[in-house]
Amino acid sequence: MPDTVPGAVTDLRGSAVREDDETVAIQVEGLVKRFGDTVAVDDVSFAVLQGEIAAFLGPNGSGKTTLVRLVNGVLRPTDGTISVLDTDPTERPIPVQRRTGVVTESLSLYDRFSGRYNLSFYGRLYGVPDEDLSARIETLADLLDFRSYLDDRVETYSTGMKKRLLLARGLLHDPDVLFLDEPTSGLDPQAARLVVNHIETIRRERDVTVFLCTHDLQVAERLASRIFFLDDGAIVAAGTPAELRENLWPEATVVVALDGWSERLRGEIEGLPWVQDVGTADADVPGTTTLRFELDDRDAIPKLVDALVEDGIRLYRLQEDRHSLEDVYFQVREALR
Amino acid sequence: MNRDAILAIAEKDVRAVRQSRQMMIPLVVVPILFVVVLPAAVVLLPRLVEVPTSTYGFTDQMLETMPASIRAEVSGYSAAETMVYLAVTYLFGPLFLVIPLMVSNIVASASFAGERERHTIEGLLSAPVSNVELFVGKALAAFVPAVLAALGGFVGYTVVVDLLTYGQFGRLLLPNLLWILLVCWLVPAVSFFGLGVTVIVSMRARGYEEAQQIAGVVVLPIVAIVLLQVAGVLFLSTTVILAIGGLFWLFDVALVWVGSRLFRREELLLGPT
Repeated sequence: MPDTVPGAVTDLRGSAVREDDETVAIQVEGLVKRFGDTVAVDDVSFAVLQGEIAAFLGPNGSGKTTLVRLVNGVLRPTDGTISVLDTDPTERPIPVQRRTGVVTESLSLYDRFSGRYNLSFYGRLYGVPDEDLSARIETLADLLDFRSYLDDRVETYSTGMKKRLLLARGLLHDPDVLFLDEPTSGLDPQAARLVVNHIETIRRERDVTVFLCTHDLQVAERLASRIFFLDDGAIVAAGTPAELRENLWPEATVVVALDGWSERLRGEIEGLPWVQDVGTADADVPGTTTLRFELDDRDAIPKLVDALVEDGIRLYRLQEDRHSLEDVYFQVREALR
Repeated sequence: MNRDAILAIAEKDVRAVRQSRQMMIPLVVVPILFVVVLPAAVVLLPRLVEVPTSTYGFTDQMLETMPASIRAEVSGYSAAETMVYLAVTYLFGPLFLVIPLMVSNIVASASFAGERERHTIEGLLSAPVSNVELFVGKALAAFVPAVLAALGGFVGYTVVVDLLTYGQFGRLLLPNLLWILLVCWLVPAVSFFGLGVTVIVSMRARGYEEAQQIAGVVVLPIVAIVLLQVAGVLFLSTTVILAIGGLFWLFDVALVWVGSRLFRREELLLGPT
């Protein structure tokens, strides 16, 4: 088993979000994939719950795309087991692929055909009934905002439109699991937002399980309930965004806008055992003093509030200064060096 | 088997060929050459220019090596008429096979190698389509147009030859049993052979052009038949056509067996390793 990052949560089984009535959509155990001497996926184990958005983050070549191809039955593993919706995609890829949709990283579209033909072709492969196909194509084109280009050749589409067409293709047959490999790469902010909003909507409304591979940390932060960090084909850290933050940075930092602050009070607060440091911060509430309190952990936040209020301080604003997923990502990368 | 998926794949591939000028030009030019230009040249040139007597000498030599039944067919014909008759009814037969072979080669080259080259193969492999369905869809896309091109070519060739020779011979030279057998028995066998070899090459080639070039070797058996015929070793009688067709169908069965052994999704996706 490859090393994980010290201090990072390794919630590989979804225990943090699993409740008794929740079911596992994807279960992977000891998965290994070698191409000759190169190990692309190295003893990976995890579970993704039904209706969950699980994000797989990692640099180029970390094994994200290979993982998607393995889990969807396109590649055969060298070792290990995979179960998708209680079916082994290695032995029975067709039943799995019938219930999964894929947005590939490469723009795997027929450029010389129209968007409508591309969707109609895949609709037939996925067994969408003829009588429903046209209506589904138009509904998805409406939702993803490319209806007016549906009959244009795909070679005239922008990258953003091609990505949306790929997403429509992945959703055409109403899948239970959606594999998204870099769904927002190459998109302008507006197009990326549209795609992200749509992913969020389908997950919420249709309880689709989403297996998201991305470089885009903001997208992962917004969408994912759990994050898996991949490096050299292995999962090196995993957990909910909050768990990852807490484990990497157990201390808490709060920025407080207050009135009634004094040097005497500073001495008193700094003397409390769970306060590490008190410093000034940029004022964002006019007429107040804004201070940054570094505390041992998050449990110290309510204690700080009590102490300040007992000393007659009026609080106008209190905000935890949280590390972003980007901070988590770079901390994990740093720890691997 | 998912018949709709097979048809979707075949229709898509044929449509892709129709939209590609690079593929369509040889598909139009070569049949015109074989169906119109070649018979017209053989029939009309002796009327327009003086043919060297050595040419007729060559025809006589060839005739001597031919079966008695063929010699009987041309008894009473002039040297010029014999040359035209032998060319349009016998010699052009194997050359005509180039049409379905070329069509199946061009379409099948674009099958897997083309999908990989255009990065569309991953979408296809991610879809719920079995290896057999994928293979049959791709094969149909090459087989049906090849056979249809040959049938259409045969009709065109018959019309052109009869129009050009009726005045000279006073009867319709085509269709005859030999050509009907050629089109109905040998053409499908040869088409399947061409596409089988090309699809197998296409699975492992890096791109469409490489696949087409390597698979171009499928034309060698046809060249061999032409040479054997010119050398007087082999003539396309009905028995020979039945035998060669049978041999090609055996090759076809072997190709299906080899193809199913070599069909690996991983290589289709990632290319030859």
